[in-house]
Amino acid sequence: MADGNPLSAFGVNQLIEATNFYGQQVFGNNVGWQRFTCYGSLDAIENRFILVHKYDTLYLNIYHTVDFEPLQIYARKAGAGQTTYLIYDSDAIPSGNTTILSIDLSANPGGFSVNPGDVYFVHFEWTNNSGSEMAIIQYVHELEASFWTTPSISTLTASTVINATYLNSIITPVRALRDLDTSTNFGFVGIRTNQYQAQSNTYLRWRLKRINKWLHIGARMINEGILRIYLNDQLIETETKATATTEDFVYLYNMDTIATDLGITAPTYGTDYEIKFRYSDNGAGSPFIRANFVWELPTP
Amino acid sequence: MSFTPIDPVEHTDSVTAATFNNIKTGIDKIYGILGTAAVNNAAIGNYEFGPNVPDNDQSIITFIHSCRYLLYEGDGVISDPSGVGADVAISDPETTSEVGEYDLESIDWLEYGMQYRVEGVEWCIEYEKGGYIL
Repeated sequence: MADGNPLSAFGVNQLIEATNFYGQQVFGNNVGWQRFTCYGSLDAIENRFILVHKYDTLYLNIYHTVDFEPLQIYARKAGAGQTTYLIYDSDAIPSGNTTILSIDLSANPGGFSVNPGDVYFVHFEWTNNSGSEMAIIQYVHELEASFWTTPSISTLTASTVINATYLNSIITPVRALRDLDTSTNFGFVGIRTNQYQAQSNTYLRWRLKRINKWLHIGARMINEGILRIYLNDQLIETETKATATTEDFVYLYNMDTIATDLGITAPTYGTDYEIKFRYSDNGAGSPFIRANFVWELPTP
Repeated sequence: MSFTPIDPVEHTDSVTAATFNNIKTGIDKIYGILGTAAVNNAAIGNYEFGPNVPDNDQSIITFIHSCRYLLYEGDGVISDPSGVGADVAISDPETTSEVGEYDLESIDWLEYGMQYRVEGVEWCIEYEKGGYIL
């Protein structure tokens, strides 16, 4: 856009359409990401993470309280006959109960190379040197730091004369959002289990970012059992089912008012938080639970 | 702080300062969530094929549909949780490629924004190849 060029309503509507499109992409699909929980050592067959390559830094974050001796990370491109590469191999001593790794995929770690758009797999193996202590894989994603430039757009008044500088301050950040056009969307991992766990060591936990107004949680309970749901370890729901039937339960929370509604500390806007299910026995008859969904949406 | 879609300028309407300020508000909200680091999340394998403990048969993966293609591995079924849409079988891809690709636009009952389930596969992830032109 240059000074002196005419600005049409059509052009403005293109900006509006693109802003709405990306706004709905960023805000409209906020699904809980399973925090993978295990006890003791972890084998290759037990875990697999799938990525479509886009950014060069592979970011990994693991909660653990005892050393891994060693922690090993493997990667393999999808396809028959592809080689599995050991891309990280070291003892891991947790710092603040966490080990964080940033692996530069562009440096061909362990000989592994991947191109944009390639589907590849990552898995973890570790030997926990203290028996059956719990560990949680909290984050697995690619990232590129300082990728987005936060725009600085002036607020107009009715008397402001807009020029090319102003218009480009709007057009440039919208055009930059085209990076979202090539994207992936992970599904909600709906674990079905008959294992009873305590609040502290449940397998059933998901990470969300606080963005939308409405938190939706769904679960299927089969036969008799008690489901307790926690938000950042604060109890928000107790469901006691005393019949030998299969029933789906749906819970809806207004995240804007959940602090006063339930008397809890709500997560701050834009921060990550955790939803946990604790499932326990309430009688006889092969009880199972299946998590159906945990996600935030703009609508109830 | 949710995102509110911006109304387009209608035929014969004027483009006003308020129009631009609404665009600014929308852009600021988007970047407020994105932050500065770009992130590409991993999908996690179907828990049914995960740890031997806990007993995890019949675990499922549920999507809010937003990308056109489903990449997957293994035999499975795409189903409508409401029970209205007919199940769609997806089969294990060629052994040479390992990854199956299913065009979700071929499912007549599935619209963007809807939820659907994938059962039986080892893993799956939605993928968008691009093409939105600005």
